[in-house]
Amino acid sequence: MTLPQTGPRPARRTGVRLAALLAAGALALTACGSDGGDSTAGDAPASGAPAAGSLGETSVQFSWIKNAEFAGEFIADDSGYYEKAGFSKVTFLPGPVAQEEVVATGKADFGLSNAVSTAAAIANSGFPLKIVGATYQKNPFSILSLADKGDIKTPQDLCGKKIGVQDPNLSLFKAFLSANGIDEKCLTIVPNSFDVAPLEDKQIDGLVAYLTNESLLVKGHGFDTVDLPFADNNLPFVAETVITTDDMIKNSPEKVEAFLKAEIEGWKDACDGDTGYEAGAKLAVEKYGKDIDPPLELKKEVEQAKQQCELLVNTDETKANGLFTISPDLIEKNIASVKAAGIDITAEELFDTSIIEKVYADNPDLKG
Amino acid sequence: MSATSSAVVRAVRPVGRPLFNLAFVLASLVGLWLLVLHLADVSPLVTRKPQDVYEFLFVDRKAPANRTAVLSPLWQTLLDAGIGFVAGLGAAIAIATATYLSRGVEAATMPVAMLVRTVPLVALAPIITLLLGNGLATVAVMSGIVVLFPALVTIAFGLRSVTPQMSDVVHVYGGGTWAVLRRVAYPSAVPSVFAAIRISVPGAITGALIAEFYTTPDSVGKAINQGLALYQYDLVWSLLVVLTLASVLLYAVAQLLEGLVLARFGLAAQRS
Repeated sequence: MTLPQTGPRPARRTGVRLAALLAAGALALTACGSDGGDSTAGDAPASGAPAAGSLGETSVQFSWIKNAEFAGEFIADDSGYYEKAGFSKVTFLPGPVAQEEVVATGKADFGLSNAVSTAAAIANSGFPLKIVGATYQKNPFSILSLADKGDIKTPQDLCGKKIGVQDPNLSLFKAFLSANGIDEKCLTIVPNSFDVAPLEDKQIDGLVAYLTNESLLVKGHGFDTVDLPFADNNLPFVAETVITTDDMIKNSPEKVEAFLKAEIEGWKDACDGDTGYEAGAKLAVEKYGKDIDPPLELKKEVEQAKQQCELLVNTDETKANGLFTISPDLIEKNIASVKAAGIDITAEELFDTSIIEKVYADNPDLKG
Repeated sequence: MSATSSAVVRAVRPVGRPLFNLAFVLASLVGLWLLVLHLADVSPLVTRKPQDVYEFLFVDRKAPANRTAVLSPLWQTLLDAGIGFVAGLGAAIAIATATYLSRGVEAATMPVAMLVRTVPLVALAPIITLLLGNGLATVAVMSGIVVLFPALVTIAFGLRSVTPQMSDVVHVYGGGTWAVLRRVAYPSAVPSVFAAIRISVPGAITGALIAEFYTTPDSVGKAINQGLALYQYDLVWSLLVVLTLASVLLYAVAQLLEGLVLARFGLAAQRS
């Protein structure tokens, strides 16, 4: 299940890469022109890559509805990056569902989830899964409040407030409280769905939300919002993490490698400045998510595409190591956060970074 | 059969039948459970067998902690169900009495009752929560709604089963409507009330579970939602098993009470 995160971080523009810019521009044009058939592989496969289609079909279970949260995946499909990497077809399965269950039981090859959720599946039910890469370097969970109501700027501000928490996020919220030394008894937890209406109606002071989704939604409705991101307040962990089975890693590492390569290419384009944000958002609104009801709003999706790139996807570490990488330091922080959530797991049981390292070793140009 | 042994059979029957039913229901449940797991193509990663639940609750290293994790929400849910049961059944008896006393009340309430019953509770739940908040009032109303309507229909039918001849006897001796109600209608409705109690037990628990998605205390409804998010399938299956057991046991208790009371009233032959 996706949740939002936020964080007032200075906007940081990534350097413009000429090739990526051209690709994104071409993409934006095709996105306007038609709702397009299935993408076809553009240029010849890079040396060493499997021939187009030789890896067969694959499927990805998303953590949320097909909105701009998956801008990079949409671009990778629309621009033919998956085909170039060797897949004949990629199926996107919308969430929210239990992604770990879908992937572990073989209903999808890959899933996008977060470190806490996957750790729970491995530790509590012995699911044979690993995280092989991370789109979001920071989790987008946050406590969303209105400036003229809850005005929750620090964890201490939570005391005496009424906070709406979705049952599936309750243990995560409690981990957030304990990581910040807040006594659960000093506030009132109210069951809430992902609906933002109770917050806007001022029935509750705060809501567990996604920085890149509900937060922007409420702002778009004309409210002055305040975010308290988990990631900046002692509960950092990676999200939109790529998960797959131990079996896949062992027996078809070339599939995992090809998938990650196409993902990196897609997300490089998706985060390539305003052109990239608009291209990803347009694909979400006009192609992949066009059947969503209520319909996606382009303005909010562009904003979401921008925010996630600036706040969550691109960090100093990805600048140095490349997108989707998870540094040893970050892994250590993840394990600490997962422990705070009451889940006992080691880094080796949760992460396998060997394939993403191989992707960059084989394709050093992907880093730039 | 000798007179003594038939007396024994008479005395044992009200107790024996529920016990036999209970054993039969439990055996069928376990059988069905295994059969469905066997037939359905579901990954063993997410399913649990009876022995897995037994191990989780009694054998596992953390069994005592596991039992606490299952039982503490269970008490809350039984309390919630009890509140709904009392609220729903109380309202059903009151409304049934009112409809017995006045045709006008019946004409006014029954269509509304049927209408509310046809709207799924999950659809009503957010509105009820909005009106009553996240506390006991919401539980009482939601669980009560599930209990109320079947009970109302059954009890109202029981009250109406008084024949004109029976009420004539009371009138001849100078009794009014109240006397008819007290001396004839209520006793005639006893089997219906017990039938209503039996069907209300599982209904109250179902209603409580739905209400618990909207209320604050730790309960089975909430624990299942959280357990699923954390992939604690052992816990989720154990919660379902223990709640089902509790429901079956309470049903058996209701059946037992019914048998004993009806035998005492000499109404055993009329049980519905």
